[in-house]
Amino acid sequence: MAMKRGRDARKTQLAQLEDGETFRLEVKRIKSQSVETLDTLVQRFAQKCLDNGAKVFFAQNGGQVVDYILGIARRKGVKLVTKSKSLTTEEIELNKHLEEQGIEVVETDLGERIIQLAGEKPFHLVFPAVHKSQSEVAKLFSESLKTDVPDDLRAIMDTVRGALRPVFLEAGMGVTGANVGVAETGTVIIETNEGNAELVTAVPDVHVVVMGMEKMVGTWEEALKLVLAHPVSATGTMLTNYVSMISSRSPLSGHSERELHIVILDNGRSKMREDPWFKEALRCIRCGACMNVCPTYGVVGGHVFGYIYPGPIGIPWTQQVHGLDKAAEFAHLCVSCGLCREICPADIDIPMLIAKVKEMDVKQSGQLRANRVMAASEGFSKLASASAPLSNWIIQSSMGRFLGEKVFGVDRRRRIPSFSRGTLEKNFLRVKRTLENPMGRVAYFPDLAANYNRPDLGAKVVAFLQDANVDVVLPKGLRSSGMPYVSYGELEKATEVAKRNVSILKPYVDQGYNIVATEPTATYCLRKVYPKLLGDSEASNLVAKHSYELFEYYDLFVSNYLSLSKAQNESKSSEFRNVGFHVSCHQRALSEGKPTLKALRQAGYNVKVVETGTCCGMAGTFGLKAGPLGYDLSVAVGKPLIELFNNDDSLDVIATESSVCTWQLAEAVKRPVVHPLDLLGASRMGSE
Amino acid sequence: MSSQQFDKATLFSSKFEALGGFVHGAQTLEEAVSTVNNIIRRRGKGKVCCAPLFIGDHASNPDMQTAPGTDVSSKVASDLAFGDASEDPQRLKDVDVGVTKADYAVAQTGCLVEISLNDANHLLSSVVRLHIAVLEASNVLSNLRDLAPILRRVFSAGGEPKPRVTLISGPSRTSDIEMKMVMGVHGPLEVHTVIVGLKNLIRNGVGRDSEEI
Repeated sequence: MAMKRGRDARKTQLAQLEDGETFRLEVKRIKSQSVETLDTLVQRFAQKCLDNGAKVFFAQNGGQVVDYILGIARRKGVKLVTKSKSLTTEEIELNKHLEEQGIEVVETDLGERIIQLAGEKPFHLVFPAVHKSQSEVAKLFSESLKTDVPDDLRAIMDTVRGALRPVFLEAGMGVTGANVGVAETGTVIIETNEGNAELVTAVPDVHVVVMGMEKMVGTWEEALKLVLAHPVSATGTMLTNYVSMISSRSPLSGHSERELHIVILDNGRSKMREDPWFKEALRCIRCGACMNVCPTYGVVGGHVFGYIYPGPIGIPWTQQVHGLDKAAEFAHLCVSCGLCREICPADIDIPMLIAKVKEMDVKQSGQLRANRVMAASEGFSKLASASAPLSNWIIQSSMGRFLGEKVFGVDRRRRIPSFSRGTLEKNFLRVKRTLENPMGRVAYFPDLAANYNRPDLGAKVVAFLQDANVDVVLPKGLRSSGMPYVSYGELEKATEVAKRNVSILKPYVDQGYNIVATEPTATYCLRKVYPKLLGDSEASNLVAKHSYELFEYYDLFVSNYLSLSKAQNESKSSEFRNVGFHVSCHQRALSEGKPTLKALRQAGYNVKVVETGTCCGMAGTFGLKAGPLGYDLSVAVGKPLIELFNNDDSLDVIATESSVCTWQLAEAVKRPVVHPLDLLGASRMGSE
Repeated sequence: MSSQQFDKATLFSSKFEALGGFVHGAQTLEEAVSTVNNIIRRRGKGKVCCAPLFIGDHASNPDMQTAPGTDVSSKVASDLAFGDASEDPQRLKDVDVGVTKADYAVAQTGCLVEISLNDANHLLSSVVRLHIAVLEASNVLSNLRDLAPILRRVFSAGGEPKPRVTLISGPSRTSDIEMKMVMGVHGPLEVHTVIVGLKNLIRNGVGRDSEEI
């Protein structure tokens, strides 16, 4: 679980930085500012570089970069080029083109050298060869160096060091990328850990920097913040071992004609900048944190989940610089869990960028049949509830499951939850109490599960709020959250749902109601997704501001009115002592489950959060689907979490607020899986 | 030495050592030089080459390479002259120890700051196996952001060529294979900092006599 180590190290390091979250905001601010003023920054930077005696070349695309470098190579008689790691040069496949012209190119970053020898593409932004075992690496070097390299880490290092030394010293040209370009002085900053960039840049007579234009910042203060941000986000260390700051070509005695060339690459970046959706992708600082946390990337890896830029951010970047077809090959691996956005130091709305790419692909190539079915889950739920209990009998029979797979693409192994005829909508008036002097008003957004599958839970929510003297209404005509539409790239349909739900809920907000949902995905849509879909409209923002998860609302508004205890009812909760809590992905963007934990503890439970730091695998309707992009992948993603739960004998019961997570966990976890509200009893504290 | 500066130096030392580097204290430059000699005697395995230190006198007798164990105080190289291209690889390959000046250090992250006007001097901290940096205690900065005005000045000063600035955080490392950390990939395997103006750096076990390594 190399990715988990990356996540944990990052958390520790962020905690050490004086201002953890502010730090993240700073990164976002600096990069946004840089994107906004890009043209000016690039011009200023270029002018300063020229003043410093460097040569500057603006390249529209990869071909121009190749031609430019070939021109220099021919002029200087360069036969051997050393490179330090540069994703930008990989983006344009520089090595291949130079080699085709008879120039030998040697990658000096160890991970890059390994994949160069193996003839592969990078597996991960920061750790390109993390998929190779130590013995595979020893073998690679043995073959390449025609010597026996033992399967020992130190021996491999010493061999590599010795083998690359003469290469460093003989190269006529060194090519690097740049992590940051500082416009105020025309300086490039190159960050490495191995020290290879030092040798690549200081020894050869010609140093060429290939940098994407989005790397520019204005000032040294901003540059130093990024220099600290890159490693903290990527590997949880403070600085990379070597940070080289270069403004001009330093002399080296005995060598008169030394040159520094700075190639500033566009290759789709200026187009990205003009695009209101994709503009924010330019904030990416290439830290790799998003792929460390992505549940499906963690299972399939960067060769499947990527072309040259892997992982979540790789989807929009690939679409923009390499084209839709390449991006479409892996865009549908994204399950819209939203974790990438939560961890991104530049707060890029990666999930919605990915949704846009999916939409482009669906418009071009049509929607996958299985996805069409999933997106229609609302209609299906209605029908199944209306025809319950017959529907349940059919759905859960083996014939039903078989047909379900063949006709609807729902994996037959998946246990579908049962539907209830007595939906919350139907029975609402029975659970609703009219309150004399309510201290608050709530419009309840039940989404699908609390209405069709577990109306009893929906009723508990209503009772809970009413016990705190809060008036609850169930607005008519509410759709489900619409999240599946987003997950499958049906953004027009998603926008319709958003518009509809917001138009129904806004009048309530205007009248002083708050909106509560117990399904984390529903609150997530209200707060994060609808405003994006509706272009940040006033209405959607107003609704977002007044939307809460159930326990958030409890904590903020009514905790003084309710005293919580263990539920005394059919669920035997009073016998439970230790609760294992699962934070659903969408919840991580909201309350992270903190107020729920507080409430459970107040009721007298011992609660611990059990997590792998990534998704349980269900990802909404994703885990229902038959086929490779569905049930099997979903189970693979969730396996480590299931094991954690099952290996903890101290736990009596598992609690989670997401209906879909419940289904995933209930299939494989040995303890009962319930909603926190199933564990709680509430009574009014004193009188008003 | 103000206690504030002492604290900065101590913090730098503990961070630098946590990164795998070694820190030594010396009261005066002369003491620093003998500390450097000690380190070379104990840890050096081959030829030594020095960049100019911060006292002008010492640049008087440029001598390219010295055998290990030689008193380096009077033999300071201002330049590693390559001669013609074919000789270069040999010369660099043979240098085992590089001695350079660290212009600043940053306590927050535990890094050295090297400002070099010549790539030859810069190579003395990157191509060698053992790198020894000599640092004035008064040049330790608290935070990375304190470097901003310095870098602005260094890179805005008139004339070509501009210096090259490198932040060095201990010995070189990689975790590219199975995410297991290994030192000394291409850059130095061992890095020592000798802090001048601070004999007694021993606080919480940080710093040591050069005799002890």
